[in-house]
Amino acid sequence: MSILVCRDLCKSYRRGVPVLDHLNLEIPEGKIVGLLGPNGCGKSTLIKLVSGLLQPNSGEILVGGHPVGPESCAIVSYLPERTYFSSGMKVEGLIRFFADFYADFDATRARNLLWDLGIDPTADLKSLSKGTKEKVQLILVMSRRARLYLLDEPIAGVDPAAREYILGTIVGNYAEDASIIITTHLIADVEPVLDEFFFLGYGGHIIRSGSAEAARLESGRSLDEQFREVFKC
Amino acid sequence: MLKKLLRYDMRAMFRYWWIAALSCVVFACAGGGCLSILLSDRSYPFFVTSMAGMGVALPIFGMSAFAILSSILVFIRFYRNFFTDEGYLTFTLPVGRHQLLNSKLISGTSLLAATIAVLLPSLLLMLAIGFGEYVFTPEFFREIGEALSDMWEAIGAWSILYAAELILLGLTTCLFGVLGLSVCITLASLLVKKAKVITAIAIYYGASSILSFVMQLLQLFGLPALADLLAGTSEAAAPGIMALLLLGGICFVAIFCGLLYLFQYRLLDRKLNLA
Repeated sequence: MSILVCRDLCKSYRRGVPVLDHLNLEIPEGKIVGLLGPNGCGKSTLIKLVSGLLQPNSGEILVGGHPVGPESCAIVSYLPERTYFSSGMKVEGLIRFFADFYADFDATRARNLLWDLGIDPTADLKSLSKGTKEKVQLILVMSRRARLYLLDEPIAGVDPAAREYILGTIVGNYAEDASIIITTHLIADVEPVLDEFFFLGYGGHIIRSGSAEAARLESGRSLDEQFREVFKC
Repeated sequence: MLKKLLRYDMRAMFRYWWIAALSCVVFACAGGGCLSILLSDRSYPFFVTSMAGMGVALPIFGMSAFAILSSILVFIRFYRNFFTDEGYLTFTLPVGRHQLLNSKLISGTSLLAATIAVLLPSLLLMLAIGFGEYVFTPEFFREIGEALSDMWEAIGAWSILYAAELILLGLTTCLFGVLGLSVCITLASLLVKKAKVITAIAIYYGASSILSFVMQLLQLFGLPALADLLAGTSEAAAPGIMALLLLGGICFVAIFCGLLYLFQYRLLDRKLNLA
């Protein structure tokens, strides 16, 4: 069964310039899927449409059988590429906020993960560094028992050690029957954790997709190498 | 979910409001004290009377700043929560758009109503301290009591209805103010990518100016007609007519609130683009 179904999805920010042009896509349950493509191909736009931040011009999106709305938001855990906290809150306040609104949020797990990182729950968010804020955000998102995780560029702009921690947190903390969609440019780092992949071209057209392992075996090359070949400038 | 949203919105909006409210009361007391010094028969040193003269302006500035700050607190909450990076969290919560909007409107209206509830007594407190020695004498309170008694004899239970209608009119006006702020912020966020705050303020003042002009036209033509209507009614029917006019005012504002709400909801639901 597919956790995410997009049918004939269209989205444009300016008239005559479609970012997503009749996109059809299905994400199965229980898989880690890489949404890979060059800048401006529509990866983040698709993620934002699924999470409810944007409205499509036409087409349909179903998440767990629900159209995008409160029911779909209840089963989707979204990590944007920017930090979205109110600077006036403390870390513990944020944990209580997530626990208040998300029935699937595991506050104990979140506190344990923060403890492992040495992050004081009583700390003000504005006193934390950018990297620490991003880690707090990641921990809160991955502490939910969601059915679909949307991670938009989770390892962009961080050092290799932090990337390893982030990917480890992602793989080690998601619900096993859940699906994860990761958008990224750093394919080489993400490739080892991917079950499936989509190469998204401009206009949101799917150029190549399938099992990551099968693609590597067939071509004898890594996904990163295949990406560079497909999207050669 | 609305209760949870309200809790967080109220906490965020009222966090600094209490300090401003307390400051307003303190300014009012200080202003009243300065006024009583200026009006006193006793002779004070020149320095004291000079400072008192400047101090009389304190409550004016203090109360104005308090009223403006309250609007700013509502503005900031709307703007930050909907149209900055915080919007990524707000609009992905498992709550309906109408609940998000209703929570902001209820908390914003509550804050503006609370502001008025602090401003009016502060003004009375300032006058009581400033003029108390001369005005608030036992004779004054006796005359107030007699006037209230006469009013009760004349209009009786209508006065309770008037009080309720005035409170309702105040609340709908506060709601209209909050809706106006929110629509201006939303329009600015949709129309421009940079300088959203300045654009929102410009739209707000532009719309306020147009609205003021329209209201003045209505008063210009409406007030004489109203006076004619009241002159033609019997004394017995006058209280009822007054109650109906107040109700008409409430409905007038409520209709505008409804239209603004629908417009705001549509903008948030269809046009939001946190790209």
